[in-house]
Amino acid sequence: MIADFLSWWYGPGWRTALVNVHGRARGVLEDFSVGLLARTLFSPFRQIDAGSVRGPLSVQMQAWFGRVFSRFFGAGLRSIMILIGLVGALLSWVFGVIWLVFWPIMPLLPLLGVVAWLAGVGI
Amino acid sequence: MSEFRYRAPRARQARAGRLLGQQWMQYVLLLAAVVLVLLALVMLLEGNALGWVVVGLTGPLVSAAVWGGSLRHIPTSGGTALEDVLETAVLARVPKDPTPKDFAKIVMNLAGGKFFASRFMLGRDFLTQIASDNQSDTSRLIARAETLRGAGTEVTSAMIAAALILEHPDADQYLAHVGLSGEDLPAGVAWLEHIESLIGAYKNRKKHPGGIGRDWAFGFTPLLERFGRNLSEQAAGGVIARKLEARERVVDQMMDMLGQAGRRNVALVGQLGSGKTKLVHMLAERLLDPDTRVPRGLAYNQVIALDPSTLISSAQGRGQLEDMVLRLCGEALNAKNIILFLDDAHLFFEEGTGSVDLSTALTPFLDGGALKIVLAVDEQRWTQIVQRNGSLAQYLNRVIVAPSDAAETHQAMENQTLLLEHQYKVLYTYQSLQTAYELSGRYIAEQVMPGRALSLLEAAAHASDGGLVTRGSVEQALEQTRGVKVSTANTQSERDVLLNLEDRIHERMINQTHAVRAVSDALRRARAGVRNTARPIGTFLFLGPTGVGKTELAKAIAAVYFEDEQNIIRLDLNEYVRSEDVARLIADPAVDSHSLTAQVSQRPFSVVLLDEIEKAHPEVLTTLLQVLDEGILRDINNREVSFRDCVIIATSNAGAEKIIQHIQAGENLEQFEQQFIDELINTGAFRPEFLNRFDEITLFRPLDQSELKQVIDIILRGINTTLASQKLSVSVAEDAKVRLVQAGYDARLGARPMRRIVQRTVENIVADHVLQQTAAPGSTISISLAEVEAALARSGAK
Repeated sequence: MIADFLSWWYGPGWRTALVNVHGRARGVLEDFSVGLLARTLFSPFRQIDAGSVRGPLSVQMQAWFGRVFSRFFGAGLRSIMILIGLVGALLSWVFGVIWLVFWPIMPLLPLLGVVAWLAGVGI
Repeated sequence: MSEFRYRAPRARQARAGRLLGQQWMQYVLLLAAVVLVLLALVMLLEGNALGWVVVGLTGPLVSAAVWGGSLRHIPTSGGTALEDVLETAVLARVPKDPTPKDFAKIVMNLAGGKFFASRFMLGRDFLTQIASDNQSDTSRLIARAETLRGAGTEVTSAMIAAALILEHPDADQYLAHVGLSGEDLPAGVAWLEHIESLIGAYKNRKKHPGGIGRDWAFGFTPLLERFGRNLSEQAAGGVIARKLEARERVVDQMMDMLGQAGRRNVALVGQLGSGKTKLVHMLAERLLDPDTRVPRGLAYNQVIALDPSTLISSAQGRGQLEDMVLRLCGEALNAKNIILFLDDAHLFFEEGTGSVDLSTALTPFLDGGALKIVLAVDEQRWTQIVQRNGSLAQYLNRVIVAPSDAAETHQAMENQTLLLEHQYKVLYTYQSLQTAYELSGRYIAEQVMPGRALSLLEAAAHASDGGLVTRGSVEQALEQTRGVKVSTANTQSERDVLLNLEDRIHERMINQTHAVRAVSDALRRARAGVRNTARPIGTFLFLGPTGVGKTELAKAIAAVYFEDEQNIIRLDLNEYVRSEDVARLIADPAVDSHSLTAQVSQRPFSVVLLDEIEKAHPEVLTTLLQVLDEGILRDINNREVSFRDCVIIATSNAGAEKIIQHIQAGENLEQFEQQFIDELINTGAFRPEFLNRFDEITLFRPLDQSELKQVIDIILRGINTTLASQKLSVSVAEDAKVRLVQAGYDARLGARPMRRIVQRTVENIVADHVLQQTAAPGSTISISLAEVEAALARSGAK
């Protein structure tokens, strides 16, 4: 059983863990709609003031400013969300990498613990 | 296949996973790891270096938890040995040198065995009872299970369960006992795989497809949220349906039309029950989980259904209603991610209760093409819309939705059962699905597949037996909702009625034993399940003079077999003497609810009595030929109406005089029956091809005076039944009865005058007693010959 475990741990298990790290980071990006928000970065936020307006120049100018504001407001909000998403994905990835680094050590931890105890390592 | 290698790596891993792969075990391991870390932390903070050893112990715990998770499902290794292909859950339990009985014990506790035990109604211990305990049979069992694997990679518990049954020499007999055959077992395996895939998909579904910023580029839709129903929100939380190939093609077609540059609308046109609304739900589901086939402009679009009655009830007057529709369409257009769905779209294009003609408001949006809109309408309504508003049809991209075929319908039923089981807390058996398909096809004419099967399946949930929806539940649901009898006679009282049909019929009619026997035999065949279901229950031609019991026998069948004398559809064919009258037979139910097809649609389980058939126009008879032959008649709208659960009785007086002559000459019916029928053909009264369509041609003979006296008794029984409410009864002296028969006897009119004579004498005498208060409640009014004579004299009878 131990042999089975070790052959899985240092073989397909490790590979699966690597795939999962990528999957989780991509999941975070999706949860924060990063790709979608990037594609629509300068779209009017919730289509507010998005429609074309007919009328005198002053009305049209007002609508144009409204539209520009909506776009920039949207871009600002989206950028914040994209940033949060990217940071979240990065954190997920970093933790994932740490996990992957620790992965091969994990079965050896009892041995390392005994060594540390014998060496009298303190904190 | 080689012998099972107990110590093969995959088998070892599966056994390890049986313990470590348990959810609770993983929680225990991880919890222990956390406790150890905390303990180690405390020890180390107190300067105890032994804490490192404790920390070290967490490594194996966490590793074991992670490994255990991966062992729940160990992928097949590509080999062909038993241990390479067995499903993990089975493999983990297989002992050394397994016998078929070992496999039976294993699978009866796993999904596959439980599935067949419950859904196929085989019982929990069935597999262990039939399995061999001879180890040499194992390889044959596994080989059989492998044949069920198809393109899959694993031999599952369901395949082994099915193989255990199929391997038994008496498999066909066992399966027949529960109404199944060997071919049903692979279908069961596929059904379980489907259920498991749906559950897997449900567990892995995205809680919020597209993420939290999904709708930021799209507009707010407060008005649509108030007046519409968001199908996409329903789809996001629902079970993912199996991809039905033909339906997926229609969804692809819809996406192409909605994603194109021109008019972005779809009009789904199909018969009721063809699955138009379901297609729109599938579209909503696809758009929320966009794959490469979904045009980018449609990804994460939401489908909102509008209901005309909600709109009508919310608006005061037409002006406000049109204004609201304009605002709703405008909102959908501006939001840029809304697809409007008008189910039963004709309700938006016609005036009526619950409907309103909004073509003026909607047409510009349809013509302009910017608004994405889907309409669903049935074929007839579509034709009406096109006739009324031809330009509207030009603006719409029509997609025909065809009824589903048998395989697709079964898949749709399998999808639907999961929802219904959750909703009604029931379990559907495999037999119930089969029966729902078969019976809905026969009896639910107003819908097409899959809708007709699904609606029957849902109705059956209310007739479940202890939470189990069986073949009987489906039959019962159909019997309750349609008034038909489809189950075979299964109660003692029902069997008694059928076995003694002749006696029951003779309680209300005299003699004519030949006719009564012929009809009773046909009814018994039907209820015993041995009749040809592609024809009516029975078709009879009753020939004979007036007043000999032809109509009475039809009524008796309605009362005894169809449980109500009212279950008779009577057509006087002397009213169908012109060729144009054919149209009246098959008229639209909405136009003429008394047409033959309309009445049979309403009451498919009835006696159809075609009186005086010899008087009908030949074209009317030709139309009826199809009914006699196939049990099917198409109405004016080309909809099939089934007569397959009707008893069809045609009556005729043709040649009545001849019958009287033969009988008066002392001949028996059997002696001149064939000669008489030949004469009818030779004289052109009936065409031979018409007469040949009947199961039985039965001659009724005139009643003699002693039989008419029995008719008097039957009539008197009826009077006593009526008087019972007043606690009175009447008895007539025997000589008085003889006098009544003499007074009413007419060889040409048979028993018909008897009722009139009894009315004029007995009923009048009783009426006098009641009005004069000479008959106290609880007493019997005895009528003597003298009283009858007096009453006859008073009425002027002979």
